[in-house]
Amino acid sequence: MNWSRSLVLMRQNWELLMADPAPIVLLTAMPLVMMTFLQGTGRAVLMANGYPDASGAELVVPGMAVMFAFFGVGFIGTAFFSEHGWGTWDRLRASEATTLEISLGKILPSALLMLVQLIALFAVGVVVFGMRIDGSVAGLGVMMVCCIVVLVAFSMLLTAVLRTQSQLMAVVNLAAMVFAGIGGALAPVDVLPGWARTLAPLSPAYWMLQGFRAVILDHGGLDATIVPAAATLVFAAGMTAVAMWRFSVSDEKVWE
Amino acid sequence: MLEIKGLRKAYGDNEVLRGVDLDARSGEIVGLLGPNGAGKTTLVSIVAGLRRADSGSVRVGGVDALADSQTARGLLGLAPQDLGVYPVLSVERNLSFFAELAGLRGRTVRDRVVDVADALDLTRLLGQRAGTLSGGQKRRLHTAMALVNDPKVLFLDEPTVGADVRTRNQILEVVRRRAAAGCAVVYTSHYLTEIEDLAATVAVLEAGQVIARGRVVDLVAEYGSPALRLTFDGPAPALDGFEVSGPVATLKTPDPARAAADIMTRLNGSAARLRGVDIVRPSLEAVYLSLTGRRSNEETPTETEEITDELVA
Repeated sequence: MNWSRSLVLMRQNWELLMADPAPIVLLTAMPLVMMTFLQGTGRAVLMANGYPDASGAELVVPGMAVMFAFFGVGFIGTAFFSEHGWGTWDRLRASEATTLEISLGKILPSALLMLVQLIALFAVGVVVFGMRIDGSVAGLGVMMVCCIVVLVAFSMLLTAVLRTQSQLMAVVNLAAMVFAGIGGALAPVDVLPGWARTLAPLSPAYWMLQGFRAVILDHGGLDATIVPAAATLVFAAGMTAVAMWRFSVSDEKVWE
Repeated sequence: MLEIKGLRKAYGDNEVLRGVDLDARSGEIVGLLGPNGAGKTTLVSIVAGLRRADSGSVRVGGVDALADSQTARGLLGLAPQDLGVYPVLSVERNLSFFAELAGLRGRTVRDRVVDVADALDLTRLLGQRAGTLSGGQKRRLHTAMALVNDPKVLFLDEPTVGADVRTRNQILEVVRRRAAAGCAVVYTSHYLTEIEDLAATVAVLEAGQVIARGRVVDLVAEYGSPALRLTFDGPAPALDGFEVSGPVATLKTPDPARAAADIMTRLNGSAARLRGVDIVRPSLEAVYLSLTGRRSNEETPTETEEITDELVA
């Protein structure tokens, strides 16, 4: 592992990401718009569930942030698929860079971008939408990092098993809606149908939102995030294991 | 600089490389020829670390490329057959990225970028996004990206496909200069005249094996044979020693000029129907075709020396 070369790859991938910032702007602006529309509903739901002083942002901000973070999974997959489309994948592999260095160069800039997006949405939630964080800010940070870890693992899994960019985007969109919906991002799990409540713990988004809820609404300390953080990391470990099993640098990917 | 011995590779039951032996010295340009599917791209891919070999050995600059691919890759420059550039980045950034990836930093990167850009007439395009370049400009950038790390062994896989005459000449000139600077160049092409222009040695790959290796003149002397070709108005007459096919009669002979003079006296009544007398000089293409039994490129002309109708008249 040569860190100097990894930094070269990371810088270049950051430039590639910034060459077309429209998707990044869209995935940051859209959840803010959705928060505006859904805050009133969130307030009503929280009041009915024993949080009379809540602004509604405590439910809506983490929900939208998590859902759109799932959409961001496409950044990492696209970073790999586009190399195939541009014909540069073999050039990269024929350079001195190792597979690990190339992968880190692709993953870390996107992961950093997703983390910044998450922090920005929570910051706007506090400043603009009046979200109060009653518990541990450190716990909030831990959950954010765990979110990014599982999303990176998920993106690697999709990159490993899918063959085309179209498949990638279709699965990312579907997974974002299903994981976020069942996990409680659109409405609290308590109000979901019985079958959805049963399935909810199978969604990593459920554990992300449980962790956020513990520190934002329930005055939880750092210790309150241990179980949801651990559950999230178990998902990440499983996805990473499958990704490493299935990933092959010589697989042909199609950029459509 | 490059030594390949007994290289084998199979995809399932399909054995693509069947014990390839090939070497290239420092400063040598090797024209790697062969029909489609002969195994050229697989061979290049294995040396560049993109595919694993089943058996055999590859040494690049003394480094075992199969055991220590990373070090060997550091000595290589590769321009694959298909264009590979970052369209959203500038020409300068496309070049500097691969220079930095090779471990160059700071002023050295700038100097290398300037050098290769100058060699391939890309200097005025350095600030332009690669996606906005013309086809020929992209082809030059694609080649420049393989040169920017100052490789010891350079693989160019059909570098002039789709290139205009100017681009082609620039690429050929850069190849000559790289070789003159001591680089071993493996140049894959279907344009056999380019191999001759480069004064390259030749390796003919057919069905996964190198079936001929050497200088063009030596291969032509060994495998080629000059011929006299007569073209008639109507079916060619039966002539002693000639192969007749429709209106054309061909005689393979070491001295076709003398044979032409001789045959004039024996044509008799057929002389009035004679429309053309060609002396067919043995060329790399003729050798290639006789070795592979296939036509490599319909557009590549056979070298002929036409004696013309007035000689007959």
